Amino acid sequence: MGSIKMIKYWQENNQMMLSLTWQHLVLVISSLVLATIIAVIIIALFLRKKNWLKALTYFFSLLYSVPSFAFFALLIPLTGLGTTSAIIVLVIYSEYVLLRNFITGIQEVDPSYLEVAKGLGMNERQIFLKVQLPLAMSAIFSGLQIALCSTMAIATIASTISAGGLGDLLFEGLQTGRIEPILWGTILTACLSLYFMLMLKLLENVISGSWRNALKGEN
Amino acid sequence: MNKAMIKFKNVSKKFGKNEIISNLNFEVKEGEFITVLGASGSGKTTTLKMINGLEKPTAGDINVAGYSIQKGKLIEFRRHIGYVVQSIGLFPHMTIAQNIAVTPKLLGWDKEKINHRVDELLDLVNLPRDFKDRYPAQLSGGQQQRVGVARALSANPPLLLFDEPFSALDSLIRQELQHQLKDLHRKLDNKTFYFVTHDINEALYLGDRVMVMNHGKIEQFDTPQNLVKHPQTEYVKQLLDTAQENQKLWEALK
Repeated sequence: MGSIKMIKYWQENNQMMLSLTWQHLVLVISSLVLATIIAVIIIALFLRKKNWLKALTYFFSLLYSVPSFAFFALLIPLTGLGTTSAIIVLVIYSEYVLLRNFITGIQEVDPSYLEVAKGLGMNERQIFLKVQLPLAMSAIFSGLQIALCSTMAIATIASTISAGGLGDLLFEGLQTGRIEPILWGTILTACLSLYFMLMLKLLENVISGSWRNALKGEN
Repeated sequence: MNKAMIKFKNVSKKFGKNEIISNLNFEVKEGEFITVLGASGSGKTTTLKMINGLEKPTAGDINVAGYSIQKGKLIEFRRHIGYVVQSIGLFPHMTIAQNIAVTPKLLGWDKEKINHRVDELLDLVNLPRDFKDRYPAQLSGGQQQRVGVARALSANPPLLLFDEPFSALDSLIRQELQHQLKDLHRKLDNKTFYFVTHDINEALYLGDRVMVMNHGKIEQFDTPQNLVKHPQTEYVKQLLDTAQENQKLWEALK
């Protein structure tokens, strides 16, 4: 019975659902890309200033603890309804996760490698780009994964400030008391997450797969 | 042959209140193979790191290849000094070719020149050329150390620093590498090798001169023969006694 209703809902609304999925995707991916760029810039600037880095991470952890619903509402007077406000909130939320993971990953790189790099004549920037960043890749990607999943979920709430996305389906279901849009919204969000998780894994393999495999003893 | 490659003048190094090196004076000439022998904590590695500026002296003057080690020019300066470290030295995320090419790339060599140099160096350290695209994890410890030596030689530096490069290897491979390193030093024209070790046999075998260090001071800096025939301090005597002790054990077992 239920599955027939689900299929019927799809048949009637698939245009709208696909466009919501697309909106959701754009919201999440642009936020993540922005957050990643900001995280790398922050780390590159403050890597040697440990106290600054600590203070910034602490600052973002405070922002992270603000409930997302309140955050969206608070931004309305500043940046209005819609996508801009949504992206700002999503960037801030993922920033904490990304910074934490990136910093831990980079600081856990064996200091002997850094000393060798210095001994071979690399400057600070070259050490960061050619040694620290590549060796921290697995931590960086696990940070991206966590940020991806949480942003996918939080982005549904952006629907409350008219930023669209799959949250529209959830709230439609809540308001009309129908289960189908809620289920469809959940399924599509999960599918989107899975798809991009897979993409991240592939990207990680392209970037550092060959030497990771070498470490595992595969050729 | 007589020019000085390394000159230490009244060099001291403190970490906080601990004086690791106290008033060190010595001179290494161009083309020499110097081994530095000492226990851990003797200051031998700190001394080596002061030669390429990884550690800065608290007091005194260090002169390497005619340049006084000053701040600012250190990065460029290090590209012209070979540096070989213990087993962890190779970057795991770079292929063998990329590892060897680190310094040439920093110096802005073109691709062709780098490729040519990598081939040349692999030949020199007796590694097959098809190792180029492998990763360090796919090589044995001894092979990795050969790559380490090749990398140190990449920009054809006049001075190579070795920080206990063979200490993690088993004795058969270590001996093989010692022979080859000594051959390499003979083959390469007028290159200075500065080799830190805690293995007395390694120090005596490899060095044209051996610097024995203890508690941040030089106990004796002499040819292996003079060291064995005329040990000048109690510490050197004791060190040599341990080697002779081993010899006795061998005789007894025969």
